[in-house]
Amino acid sequence: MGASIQINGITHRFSEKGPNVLENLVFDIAPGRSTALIGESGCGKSTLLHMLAGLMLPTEGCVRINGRQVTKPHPEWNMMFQRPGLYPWLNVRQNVALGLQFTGKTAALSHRVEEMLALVGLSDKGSSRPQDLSGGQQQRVALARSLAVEPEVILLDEPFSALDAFTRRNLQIEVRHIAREKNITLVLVTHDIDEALTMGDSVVVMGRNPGSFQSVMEIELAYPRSPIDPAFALLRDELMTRFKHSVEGYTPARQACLASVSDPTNNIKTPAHERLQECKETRRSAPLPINR
Amino acid sequence: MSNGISSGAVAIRISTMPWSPLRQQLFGKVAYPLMGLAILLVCWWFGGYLIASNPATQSFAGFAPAQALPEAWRLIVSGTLMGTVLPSLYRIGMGLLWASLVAVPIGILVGASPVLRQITGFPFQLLRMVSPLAWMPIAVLAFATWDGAIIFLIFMAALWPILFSTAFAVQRIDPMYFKVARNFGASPLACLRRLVLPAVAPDILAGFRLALGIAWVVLVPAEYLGVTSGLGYAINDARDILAYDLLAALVLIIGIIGYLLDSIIVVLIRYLGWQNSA
Ligand SMILES: Nc1ncnc2c1ncn2[C@@H]1O[C@H](COP(=O)(O)OP(=O)(O)O)[C@@H](O)[C@H]1O
Ligand SMILES: [Mg+2]
Repeated sequence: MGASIQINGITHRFSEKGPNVLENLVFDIAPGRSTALIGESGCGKSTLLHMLAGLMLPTEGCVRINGRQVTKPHPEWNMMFQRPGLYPWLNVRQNVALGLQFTGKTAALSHRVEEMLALVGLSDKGSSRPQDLSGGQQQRVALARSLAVEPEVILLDEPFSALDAFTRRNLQIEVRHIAREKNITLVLVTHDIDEALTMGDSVVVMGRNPGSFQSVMEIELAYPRSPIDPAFALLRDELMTRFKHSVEGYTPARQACLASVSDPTNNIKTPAHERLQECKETRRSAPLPINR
Repeated sequence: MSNGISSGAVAIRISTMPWSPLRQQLFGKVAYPLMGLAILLVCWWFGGYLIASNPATQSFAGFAPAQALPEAWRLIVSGTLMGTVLPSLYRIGMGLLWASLVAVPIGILVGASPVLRQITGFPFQLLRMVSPLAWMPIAVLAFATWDGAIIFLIFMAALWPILFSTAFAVQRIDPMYFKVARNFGASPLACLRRLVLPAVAPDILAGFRLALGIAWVVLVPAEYLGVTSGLGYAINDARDILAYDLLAALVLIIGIIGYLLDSIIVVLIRYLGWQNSA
C-alpha cells in the first residue's frame, strides 16, 4: 500500500498562446509520504493537483503514480476538495458509499461504510442529512467517502480552509494520522504555513508566474505536531523566509546558507527535459473549472 | 413579595405556552380553511339567489347550491360519476405520461448542453406560447381516434412545464457534484442515475405539478371534441339537455378532483423532495 508519485517535467498553459501557468515541474514523492505544496494563491497549486488526480492533463510532461501514467481518475488516487460536495439527496451513510458505487466496488459496501464512519467519528450520524451537519463534520464525511475506496494516494486541495481554527487543527492531525496508519501517500495543497508544517513530511514552496517549485524542506518532527513546539516555530520562520523569497524572487545563493535544513533527496532542479522521455503521448480533454 | 409576583408570572407563562402553537394549528389547518369554504358557499348561494330572483335568468336556477349539491351527491352514490371520471383520468394520465417520457430526457439534454440550449431556445419559447387548444384541428387530423387527439392536446399542454423545469434544474446542479463523480471515475450512466436524476427529481415533480394543473384545465374543452365520455363531454351534454343542476355539480366535482390530484403531487413532493427537508 501507498503509491509513489513522479512529476515528470510538467509545463501547462490553458490556451495555445497563453502564458505558462506551470513550468518545468519535477518532483518525486516516495510511497506513504506526505507532501505539502504551499504557494500564493494563483500560483497553480490546484491546477497541479488536478493533474495528479487525472482530472486534467498537462500540456507537456506527465504524472506517474506507481509507475503508471495518469490519464484519468482512478480509484487508487482520490482528491478531496475545499468544499465537501456531499449530495444533499443522500444521507451521510449513502454519501460515504458513493465512491464505492461510482468505482463499482459495491461488494464490500455495507461493512466498509460503517467502518469508515467509525474511523471519522460519525457512527451516530449515518442517517443524518449532510446539510444538517457542521462544516467540519461534512468534511469528515467527504474524508470517509474518499477513504472508503481504499485509495493509495489522497490529494487534498485546501480542504480545511473553510473551517474554524479548532476544527481545522483536529482534522489536520486526524487526516495525517489516518494516512500514516493506512500508509496512504498524501499531497496537500495549502496557503497556510502551519497546516503545511502540521501535515507534511516535506514542504514544497511554489513560486508564481509561471508556477514553479522553488525549494523543498524536509520536516523531521514527530507526529502529532504542535505549533507551540519551539522546533515547529523555527521551521515556521524558515519556511516563512523561503515563502517570501518565492514571492520576491528566489535567490539560489540563499540555499547554500541553509545548512541547518536538510535539502531534499529528490531534486526539484532536475532539468525537465530529462524527465519528459518518461511520458507517453495522450489525448487532452477540455480544462475543468478548478475553483468552486 | 417580589418573589411571589415573579413565580406567578412564570406560572402563567407555562400554562399558556403549550396552548399557543396548538391554537395556531387549529386555526391555520381547520378554522381558516373552513371559513374560506363557507365564504365560497355563501357567494355561490348568493349568485344562485340572484339568478333565481331575476325572471330573465330564472331557468338557470339549477346552478344554486340547493339544487347542485344534491345532484352531486346523487352522481356520486349512483356510480355514474365513476363512468364519467375514469375516461377523463385515463386521458390525463396518458397525456402526462407521454409528456414526461418526452420532456424529461429532452429537458436533461437541453439543460446539459449550452449549444442545444441555444438551438432550441427560440423554437421552444415560441411553441410554449401557443395555447394547447390551438393544436385541436391538427390533432383531429393527425390522430385516428378522438381519444388520441385529446391525449395529444394534453400532451402539448403538459410538455413545456416539465421540459423547462427539468432543463433549468439540470443547469442549476452544483458543478462540484460532477467533479466528485468524475473524481471517482463515474461512468456517464452512473452520473445520470446517481447524480442528475436525483438532483432534478424535485424540480421534475414541481414541473409535473404545473403540468397537471394546466392539463386538467385543458381537459374539459378538449373533451368537447367528438368523444362520448369524460367530464368535458358530460358538461357539454348537461348544457344541451338544460340540466343546470347537473352542470353545476360537474363543475364542483371537476374542481374537487383537480384539487385532490394536486394534493397527491404535493404529498409526493414532500416525501421525495430533498430540497425542503433541510
Ligand atoms: N480553466 C482555466 N482557464 C484559464 N486559466 C485558468 C483556469 N484555471 C485556472 N487558471 C489560471 O491558472 C492560474 C493558477 O490557478 P490555480 O491552479 O487555481 O491556482 P491556486 O490553486 O494556486 O490558487 C491562475 O492564474 C488562474 O487564473
Ligand atoms: Mg486553489
